[in-house]
Amino acid sequence: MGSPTESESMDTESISTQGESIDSPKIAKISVWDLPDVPQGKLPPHLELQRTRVMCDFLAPTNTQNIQYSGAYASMGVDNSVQFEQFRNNFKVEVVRLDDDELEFDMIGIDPSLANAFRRILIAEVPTVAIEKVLIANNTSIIQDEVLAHRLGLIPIKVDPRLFEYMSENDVPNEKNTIVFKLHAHCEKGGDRLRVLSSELKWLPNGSEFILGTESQASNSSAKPKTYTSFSCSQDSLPEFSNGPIAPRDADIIIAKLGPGQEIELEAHAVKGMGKTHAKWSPVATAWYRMLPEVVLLRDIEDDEAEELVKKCPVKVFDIEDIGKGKKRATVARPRACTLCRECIREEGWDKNVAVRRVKDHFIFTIESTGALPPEVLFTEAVKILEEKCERVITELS
Amino acid sequence: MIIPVRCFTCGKVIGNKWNQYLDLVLASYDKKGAEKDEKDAEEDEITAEAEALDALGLVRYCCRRMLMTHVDLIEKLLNYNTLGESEGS
Repeated sequence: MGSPTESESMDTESISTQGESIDSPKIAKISVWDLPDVPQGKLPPHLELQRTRVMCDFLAPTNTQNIQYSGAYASMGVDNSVQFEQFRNNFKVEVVRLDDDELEFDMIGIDPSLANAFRRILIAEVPTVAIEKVLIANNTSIIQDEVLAHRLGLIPIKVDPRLFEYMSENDVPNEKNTIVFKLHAHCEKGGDRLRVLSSELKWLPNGSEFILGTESQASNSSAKPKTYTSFSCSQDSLPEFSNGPIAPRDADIIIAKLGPGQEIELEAHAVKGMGKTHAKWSPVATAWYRMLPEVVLLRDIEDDEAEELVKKCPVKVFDIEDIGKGKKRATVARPRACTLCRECIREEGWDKNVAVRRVKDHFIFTIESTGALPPEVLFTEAVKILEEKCERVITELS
Repeated sequence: MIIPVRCFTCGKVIGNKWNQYLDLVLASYDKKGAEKDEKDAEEDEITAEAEALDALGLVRYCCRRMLMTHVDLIEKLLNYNTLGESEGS
């Protein structure tokens, strides 16, 4: 896109163009008489800006809507329909930061509905394994049984859920759908208080050790006594679990505190589930996105004003550069840090100097994993789930 | 009563951070107390709590409030323990 159209309607203030296409500081509405007679196949700058940016004005954000209708700009000779080829060429994913539990990446050139679909799938539909049933043999602590069971459920367990099957209502717990943990903590009389930590949850690869009480003891004295699970083989003999025992991700979560003489003895059965059933199965400690902030100086801000502007911003978006002869000019150094607090345009008149905008199709996506799966795997899982959903729609329709 | 395992809002695990938080806050108070004699508290001073929460990596205000507003009542309730006393009394 070229430089903004010079027309009489422009302000008299001197304006510096910074050479950026739609970021060009001055985007006045163009009179209909100044538009070319024949459609040029592209939008005039002010419409392009409305199409691609949310304006964060002093009073409220404007242009928040996305223009979906394919023929919205037909009179300008611009096709606004969604083109698969175009999407393929423009879509980009750029990883910004990746560590054990956190992934930040830019998703560029995608519709907000799709970005939101990924977010919702990550929170509610990517499965994990969490403790669902707790068999309490003894609990004399002051944490009630149900509270204790709830706390156990929330402990993230480090195991790949893809190796397990869902357990439906009539299923018998077996080695493919259940992981059993044992917890036995006892605080000695006359001793100090005891902190029960999640590291005391011990994996039982052979399944439950509690004998099912309803059976008559004599009838199956020869056979192995029936327990609450029916494992056909030990889980640690399976190749998937050969590398280390299954355990909670964090070893130091406080489950309960015991006073002298108190005791907890229980067995916890973990199953696979999804976040939409209960938040304990959610694999992320939130996944979220924000649109890329864009901060534009509408005119040169120099000397005292520049210093004032730098001071206004609580997240230090602006910097000062020397332009020689002892003059200083404000620059936008870190637009990504902008939280859109609009502190820079709050004072009267400053909205003429600075424009704060958001790019509508650029999402800064952050995934914070609770630890069962690394965040980059979680995202690929989410993509697979969305793909599956699309395929289901297509087969239903055809 | 006892520190929740996860943040109510976002689901981040906080059940393993309570004791670290207490240690950090106490250490920071000790340090700040020593410094106080030298200079008066500035207005923009970062509080001991904020420092500790930053060190624990709790960036969102939902997780920060979980620790900031928590009262560890279980320590008091454990004073009323009947099991720990000797049988006779």
